[in-house]
Amino acid sequence: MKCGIEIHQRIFGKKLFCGCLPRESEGQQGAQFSRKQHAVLSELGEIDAASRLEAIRSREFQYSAPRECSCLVEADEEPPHMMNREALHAVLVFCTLLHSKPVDRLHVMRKHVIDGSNTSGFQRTAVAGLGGAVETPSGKLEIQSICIEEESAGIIEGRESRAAYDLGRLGIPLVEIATAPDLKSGKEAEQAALAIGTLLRKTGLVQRGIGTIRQDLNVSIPEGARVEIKGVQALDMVEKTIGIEVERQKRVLEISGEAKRRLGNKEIALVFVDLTDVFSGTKSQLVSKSIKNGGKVLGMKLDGHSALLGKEIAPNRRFGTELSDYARAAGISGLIHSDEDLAKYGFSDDEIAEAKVALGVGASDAFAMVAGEHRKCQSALSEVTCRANYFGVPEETRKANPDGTSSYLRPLPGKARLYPETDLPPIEITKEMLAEAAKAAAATRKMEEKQEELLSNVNDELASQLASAKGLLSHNPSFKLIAQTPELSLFAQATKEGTDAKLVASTLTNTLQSLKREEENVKALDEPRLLSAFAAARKNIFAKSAMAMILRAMCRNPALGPEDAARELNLEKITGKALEKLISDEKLDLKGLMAAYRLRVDATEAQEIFKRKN
Amino acid sequence: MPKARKAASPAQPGDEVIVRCESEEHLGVLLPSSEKDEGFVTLKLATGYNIGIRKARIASVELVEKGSASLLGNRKADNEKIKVAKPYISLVGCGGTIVNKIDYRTGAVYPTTSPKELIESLPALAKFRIKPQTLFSIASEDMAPAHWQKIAEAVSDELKDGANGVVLTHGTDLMHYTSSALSFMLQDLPCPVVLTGSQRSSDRGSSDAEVNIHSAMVAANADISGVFVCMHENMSDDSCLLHFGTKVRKMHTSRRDAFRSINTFPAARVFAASEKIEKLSERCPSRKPGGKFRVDAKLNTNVALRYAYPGMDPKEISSLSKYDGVVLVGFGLGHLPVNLAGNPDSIPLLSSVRSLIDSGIPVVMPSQTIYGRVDMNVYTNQRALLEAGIIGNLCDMTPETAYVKLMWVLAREKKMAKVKELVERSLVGEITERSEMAGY
Repeated sequence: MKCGIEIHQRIFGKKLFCGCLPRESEGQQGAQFSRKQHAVLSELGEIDAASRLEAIRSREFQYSAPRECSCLVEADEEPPHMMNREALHAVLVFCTLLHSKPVDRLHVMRKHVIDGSNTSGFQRTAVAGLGGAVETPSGKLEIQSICIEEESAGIIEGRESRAAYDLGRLGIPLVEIATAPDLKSGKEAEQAALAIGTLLRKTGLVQRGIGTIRQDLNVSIPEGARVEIKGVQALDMVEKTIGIEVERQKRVLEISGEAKRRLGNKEIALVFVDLTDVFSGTKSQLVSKSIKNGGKVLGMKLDGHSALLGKEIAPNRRFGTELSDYARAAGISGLIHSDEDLAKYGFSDDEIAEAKVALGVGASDAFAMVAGEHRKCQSALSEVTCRANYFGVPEETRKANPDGTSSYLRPLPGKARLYPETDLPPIEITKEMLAEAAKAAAATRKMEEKQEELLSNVNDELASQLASAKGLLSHNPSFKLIAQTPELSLFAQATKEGTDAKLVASTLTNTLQSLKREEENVKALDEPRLLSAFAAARKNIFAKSAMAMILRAMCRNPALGPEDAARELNLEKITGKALEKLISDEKLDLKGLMAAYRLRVDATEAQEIFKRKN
Repeated sequence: MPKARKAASPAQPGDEVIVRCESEEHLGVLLPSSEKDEGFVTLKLATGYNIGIRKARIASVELVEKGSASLLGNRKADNEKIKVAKPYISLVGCGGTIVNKIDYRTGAVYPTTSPKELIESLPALAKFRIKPQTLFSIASEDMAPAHWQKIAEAVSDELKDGANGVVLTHGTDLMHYTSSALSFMLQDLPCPVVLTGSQRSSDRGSSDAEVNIHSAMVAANADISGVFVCMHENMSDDSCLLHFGTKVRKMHTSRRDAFRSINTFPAARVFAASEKIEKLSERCPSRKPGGKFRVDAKLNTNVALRYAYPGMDPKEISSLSKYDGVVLVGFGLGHLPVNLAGNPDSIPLLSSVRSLIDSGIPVVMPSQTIYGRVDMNVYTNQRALLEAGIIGNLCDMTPETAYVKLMWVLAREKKMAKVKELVERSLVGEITERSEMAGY
């Protein structure tokens, strides 16, 4: 198995080619408009296979342009502004940290993407660095290239004939880091992704939180082919996704081997039969609706494929599912095939028998049908035929599904997909730019050392959790960052003020996480409020064990201070003389005391009192 | 990395080469350099990405394989005579963004695609019978009055040959000058002559070219006559507007819907997808078969177009005496600084304008507001301008139309009174009688 990984990480700051600041666009008002896109020739005069396929679908794209975080550039109504120099600086810093050689002059390219996710019909991208290496637990991993590019628009709704996108995130600067295909296992790939992601976060130049980093995988096995799986969002899905893909390629090879054996040198013929009349009175809603809308039912015989379409190639995915994805890529809602329970569609036995006769299906054959617009039915069955006649694992781009499987998206794009961005002059990477980057990279390395020192008095698990904590803490701009991340900065500040390191670390990781899980408004907790809670704990206003309760109250009321919270919740700490008095008044042993007053008493202090009494 | 061959000649753009530097080497296709590009070599890597390599760092460039020279794009205009059965639409290429693609001299785009290639690249046009020709391949800004005359002649030839309608692809910046000029030059048109273009070049997936040109074809076959501009109605690809040639102006640098009808409602709306056309104005005429169509393309190009501005030097006005006519774009309802109150800081232009007119040079005044009608009866200061003989009172022409019209009128009339009469009378619909509320 050979695997390479591509990391896409959003860079902090303004968008790459305009002055918009990315923001959450949910609920924002803005302009709505709709567009079509078409395939265009590359610089070398070819049309990319992926683009041609999308052009067949001829979908309409609906765009929603949130006013505060999109402008005419995102709407493709104004040429791009000059490249955001801060984002370029960040990428040069990553190049330095990953020992990648920056190019002498950067050429922005247009990577044709006509699935509507870019209003322009392309994604702007440029190679910033070539070569390099990253340290991973299993050794040094070679880096192939580092690119700076723009984020695509977020999909709101995708259907066969139209798709809707939100322009809020379109144009956010991304760094794309591609490793060599040297990874030998899913575990290694996961470790490599973690190592690169952690390094990027340490610079403080990247966005944090869900969706800000994603992985694309390039997987191939001997006899198989290079398959690109796009958009693995969670790091812990990398290993599983690779495992499933390796297995899928093996099974596909088995199936196509069997088909080849049965067919000999024959191929499946590109013969489609119009079955509309056969199904004119069908009870299948899917098909009757299609016919009513002026559509056709087209069928084809898959010679020698009997029982092969039902073979599983990945969890809950059969070879038929795979062919169905190909049909879908041509803009059809799906494929009906002979290895399915055809009664569930509402077809009668007579209809199926008649269709089989019309198609000339023999005992060793399978058949497939599609319904919809005539032209699209034809291209869908052509896609299915081409796929079945491939007899192997084709090179292709697949979409990562949340369960670790993947579905066919489009052919692997070639170099015909790239065209120079004529709206932008090339950018010379000067000595000064490289010196700036080197300076920032050195500061990151120094911070890295400082972080190790900083975390030396917390246990390893908490330390690693704290170092990789992502976006739970709401950063207040008035709080000065003194380490790579807001979490580490706050940790440094609180421990400097004298708060117990373990309390701070567990609060910033475990406590915030469980409050978030409880759907509390964790955003209300920024650095100044957390520091005030730590100070109150130090001053014995409440016990450490009550921290979660206090913070929960502070989430619910953003104006509430920790002292008032302790008073309102009746959680004021009982300590010193008062604690001794309570023990003697209520005649409690240690167990009884902790059972009744766990949230108001410090266990260590109580133990000492009992120790003294005995 | 493949072995380099010993090169008999130095590597040319399009060749596959290995560029060796001190610390690294790159395999790729050598790309043409731009004129101001001396310090760098541009290479297309196997991945399709281009990078720039500093020449100073390059130890050697070695040829791996000779490539094709097509990258240079030195294509000759593809102008073979094409016979198309009637009824057909003539597509006359006059350049512009719609036929743009990359130009390696600069790295930016330039009009180099022929109308024939354009038709072939747009599937929606397959069902139209189109006769394409390239008249010129120039950028909009290079268009001059002589080009308008050539276009008028070309349109006339096409109509005589029996075209059912004419579509002109044209750069957008000066499209409204050309549409205005053609409106005066092509008298009593029997059919539609439609100018179209694009704001995004056709070499991108999101280009507005296909919808614009498709809509223009629909319009060119429709039951209308006259000169029109056909461009996007809004940011969506759903519909285009047909604007009257003399009542339209580019009002935005970059948006698809940059063209707006000025002081009038657009002539019609076109839906490319359904190929339907919807008339929006009762002033939009039907076809006039068997009419008395003629070309009248004479122009007096010795006309100046100037914007008035605060602090303008009267000498600037006096320096216009070498022209045969002047369009002076005034403020608001039609103003220039006249300073009747004698304020010491004001710089009046009245006497220099008066001497210009007295020397026999007509001065026409449209307004810088673009929208609205000039009315010089309202203020005392304006009465003084009227008395001096300024032309254009109560007109609602754009400055560009006023400029083109003055050139056309001066090629026919020299007498001041006659010039004034012709300029202030609507000849081809360039002045409306009613200021429609929807015209703004």
